[in-house]
Amino acid sequence: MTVMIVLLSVSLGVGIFFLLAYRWSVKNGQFEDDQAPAYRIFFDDKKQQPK
Amino acid sequence: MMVAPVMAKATSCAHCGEPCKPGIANSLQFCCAGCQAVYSLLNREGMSEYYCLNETPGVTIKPALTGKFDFLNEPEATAKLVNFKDNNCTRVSFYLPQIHCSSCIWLLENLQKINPAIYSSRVNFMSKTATVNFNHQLIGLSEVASLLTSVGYEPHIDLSDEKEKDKNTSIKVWWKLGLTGFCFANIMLISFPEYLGLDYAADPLLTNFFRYINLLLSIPVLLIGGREFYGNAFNGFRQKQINIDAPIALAISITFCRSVAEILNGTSGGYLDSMSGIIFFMLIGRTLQQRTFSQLEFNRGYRAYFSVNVTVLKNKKEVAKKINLVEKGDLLLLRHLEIVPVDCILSKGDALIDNSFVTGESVPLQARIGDIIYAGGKISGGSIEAIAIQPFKQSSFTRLWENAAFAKEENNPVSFVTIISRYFSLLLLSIAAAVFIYWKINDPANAWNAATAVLIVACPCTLLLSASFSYGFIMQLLASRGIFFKNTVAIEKLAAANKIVFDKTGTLTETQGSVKFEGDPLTIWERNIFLSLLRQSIHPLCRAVTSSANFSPVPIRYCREIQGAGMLGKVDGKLYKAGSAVFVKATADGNDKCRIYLSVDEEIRGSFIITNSLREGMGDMLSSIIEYGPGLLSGDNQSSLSQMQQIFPAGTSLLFDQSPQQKLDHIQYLQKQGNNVLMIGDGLNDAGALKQADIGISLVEDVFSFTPACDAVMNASLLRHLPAVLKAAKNARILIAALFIFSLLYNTVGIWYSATAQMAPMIAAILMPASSISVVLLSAMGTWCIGKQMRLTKADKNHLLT
Repeated sequence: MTVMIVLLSVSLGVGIFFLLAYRWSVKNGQFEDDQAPAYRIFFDDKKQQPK
Repeated sequence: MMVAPVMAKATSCAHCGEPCKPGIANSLQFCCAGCQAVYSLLNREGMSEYYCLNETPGVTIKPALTGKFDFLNEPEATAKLVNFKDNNCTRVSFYLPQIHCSSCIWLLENLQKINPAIYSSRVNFMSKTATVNFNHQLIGLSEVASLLTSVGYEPHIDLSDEKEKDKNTSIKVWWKLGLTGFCFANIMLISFPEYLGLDYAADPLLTNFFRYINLLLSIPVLLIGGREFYGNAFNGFRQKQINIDAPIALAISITFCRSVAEILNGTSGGYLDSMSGIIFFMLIGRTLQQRTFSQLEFNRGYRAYFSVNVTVLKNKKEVAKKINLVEKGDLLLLRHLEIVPVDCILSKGDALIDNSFVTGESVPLQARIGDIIYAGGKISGGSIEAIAIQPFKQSSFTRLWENAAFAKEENNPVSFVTIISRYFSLLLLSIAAAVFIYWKINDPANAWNAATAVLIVACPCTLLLSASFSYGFIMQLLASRGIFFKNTVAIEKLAAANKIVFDKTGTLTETQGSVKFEGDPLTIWERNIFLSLLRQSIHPLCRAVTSSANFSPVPIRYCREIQGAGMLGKVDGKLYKAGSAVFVKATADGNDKCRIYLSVDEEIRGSFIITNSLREGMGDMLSSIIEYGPGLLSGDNQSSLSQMQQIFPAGTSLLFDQSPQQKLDHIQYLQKQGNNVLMIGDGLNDAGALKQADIGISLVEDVFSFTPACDAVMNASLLRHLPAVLKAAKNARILIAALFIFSLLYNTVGIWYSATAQMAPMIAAILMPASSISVVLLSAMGTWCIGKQMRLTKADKNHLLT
């Protein structure tokens, strides 16, 4: 059952990696506005096609 | 007499959706030149996607003052607003309260299409700010502000020092929640093996491994997640008070210490999952409760009502000068819609001064040369020149702010949750002590176990959870209906109120005076003629009619004003008369003071009536709150006495001509009689009364208006549902009390089990999340029931315009 120790350590390691990624994204300001990004997906970036 | 609308059919503006009169036969109508200008600008620049994203997304354009943003070019303003600056690029953030939909975001993030000097911009929808990157070599800060105004998003600029960026708090909150949640979830997962049969004796290595990992994971929870509980408890001790964080901090520490002791001794796995769980849930509750409405301000002082600069004439040249530097004798140039900054004497020009916000008078004042104009009024009409007689700080109404009501600093208002927690803590400590003594006598081995178990299990976390989640949900519920509270204690204060006092102008009556027409409907042509005729007069009534009307002016070749009687004009051979009943030879009606009678060729056609119309539903609202003894405190004169008597219950005190100080005194008088007073007002003249009252609500028509300092901001259209709001606040109190009793039951059961030394770790582990989740669910359901009972439609809380 010592394989459990290895398993748990690895999965915790992966989890901590994602925790650090979360910390980076929070510091980067990605959680400041939770409503605008939802609207932004509807915008067209390119110039409008001529009708 | 029938009141007939003048125009046949109203359509809505293609830009902002406001109703407008049909003009020439175009396919699209606009309510004003501003909206039309923005529409053509956007079409010209190929930005018509603005209109594809939403229907009529525009904001009604308010006329902009020239030179309004010139003060932004000064270094002091630049320093406060600019985030970043290098050789080519400046980044500035503007607060734009008009942002309310996806079209706003789209337009504001595509400004570079209108002016290429702008590199890019980004909108933060939650705080309603736009951050613009622009090339300061090509365009200045004031021009950026003017550009924003021209598309309908006028920046609200506040240069006072209290504005602090709290970006850091938001980061801290998110990080704390994320970290605590991560650790809690992992601790729960790793605790399961031991509950489900992993035996220490059989496999010590694995068991110890799990236990020590739990211990490691619980350290960040204690130090980072639980930090604010320790901080608050400590602050409370320093002020010689016990707040609800004190027993919680105690419980957390005891749990942690006992768990460490048990893990190190190998006795058991400890209670780290319960501890991290309650910290996590309480953090969520706190965060929910503390979500403030960043687009509203509850603490505005009078300074925020005035603009930053005023135009001063020096040697015929216009110079912008800061308001607080204006000296006695300065010659001020005040334009249409500007606010009079200081007490001054009119020296040139003729204008109407609208004092409704400052004194509550509903009819604008006609000032003559030599009259004193008091600070705070709004100029309506042409520009005027006036000589300042007092500097800003000695204005007639700044004295109001020196009143003691404003001096008393509001220390953290005590919620009844805090009061309960005090008794709770004392009770808890005494029970723990009693248990300890009991077991010490009977079975010494159990003494510490039982006592610490009591302290752990009796943690008032469910109390805190029920309070914070309930308040959080209720604040969001009420906000979605249109009333925004400053903090949660304000809800309690509203529930405790037993007397209500109203202001009149702007609160019970609409802010804009309305013009109604009575009589046979006029044709568009006739209406244009009459309004053009009335426009030639400077009589306040004529100004009131023409200032709010949209019409196409007709040149009237022959036009004469008879002083004190009316206007006479000849168009196409017909004689048009507008004026008093005598002048027009009409039979006078009782309500004569505010009427302009109209006749064509001596044939009476009808009259314009200027009233400050009551808001809809005021009479019904006031009769349903009779038990609150509603009263009126108005700064206006007695002319609307009959109007008010009709809606208020018989025998209520209706006080008129009240100065701001008198309003404050009256509230104090009511309070001395032992009443808990709720004051509802909207203007500067209510500021003293709002502050003095036990709870003050500011009424607001749109999010741009100034609101004096208050406990809650309410959408004007919600006023007729005031009884429902009061009921909801009372129900909120009942809900929280019920949840308290519910959580006390949990605590009692838990204390019983632990005092009799029967508590198994498994039971404790289940009890904790069960109690937390059940409390959250119950408060959510309770809030939903309260919302259902209010039976109001949801207001769009992003778009406060009614």
